Amino acid sequence: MSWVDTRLKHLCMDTGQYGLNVSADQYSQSGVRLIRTSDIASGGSLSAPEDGVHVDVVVEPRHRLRPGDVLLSRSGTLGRSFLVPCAANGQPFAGFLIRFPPRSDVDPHFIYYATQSLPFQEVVHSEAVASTIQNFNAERYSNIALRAPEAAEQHRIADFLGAETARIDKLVLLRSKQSAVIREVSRLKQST
Amino acid sequence: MVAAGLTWPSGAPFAKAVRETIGVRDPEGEVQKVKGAPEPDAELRDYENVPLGEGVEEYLKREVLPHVPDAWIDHTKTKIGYEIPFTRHFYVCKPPRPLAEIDAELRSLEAEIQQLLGEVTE
Repeated sequence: MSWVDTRLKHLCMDTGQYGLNVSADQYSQSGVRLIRTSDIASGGSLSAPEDGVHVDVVVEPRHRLRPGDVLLSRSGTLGRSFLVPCAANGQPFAGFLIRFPPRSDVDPHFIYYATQSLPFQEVVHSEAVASTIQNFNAERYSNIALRAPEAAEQHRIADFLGAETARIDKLVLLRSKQSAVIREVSRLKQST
Repeated sequence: MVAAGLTWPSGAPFAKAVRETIGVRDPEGEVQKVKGAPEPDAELRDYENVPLGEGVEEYLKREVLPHVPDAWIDHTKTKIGYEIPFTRHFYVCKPPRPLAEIDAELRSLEAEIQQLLGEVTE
């Protein structure tokens, strides 16, 4: 098994593409859905369409998402990453996000998990440009160093982390349900 | 639109404009050439920060060519500058708690929950 020292841009098809630069007052009731950080859950699912915002503009191909693209937040929720789900195929993404499309021989899930790793996040937060709002541009993201194994090992790592995080997400969900049941018991005891 | 009787504009600038407007890049396609030399694609242009004192050609060979074998340097774009990364110099890393410590806290919480749950559901 061989690992190589590389950088994010060398595992992707380009050096990062900024999203559609539209302000909130340009949101409309019709048009295409604009994908924002709050629209993608940690598990990768897209929030309900009624919770999203739309823009009535012509979207250039470079602003259209493809499943497997990795989005990184460049301000606000600095360093947060998202893996674009199939449901967001063809939709534009917001300007405070940067899109990195993994190369065809790179596992997008591996890139997604690598961008959430402690070493990656440390670089983001230690090199962020701090003014009123911290920001981190596409060039800086694209040059962050990563270690990557060959494709088969990337798949194995991504599958392992996928299974582990799914189990923890289920545990959190069960605990949440348990809390609701305990509150129900509490209400019942108080009413009798 | 071109009025009746007039001809379409021609020449390299027009052809380039048409290609940029309606053309689609094919990353797997053959390299396009102009006068025998590879035609640069501005969308693939990238910048590197080379440490002062290190040769840019050496840097290209070591850091870039292994990943982008057909890359070359446009020396007209080369600039010498510096950066003062305040955030990096003042950044203090906050490492996560050791996993053993988190596991111990989880087990302790779980035991407390189970005990209280037993009393609630008696």
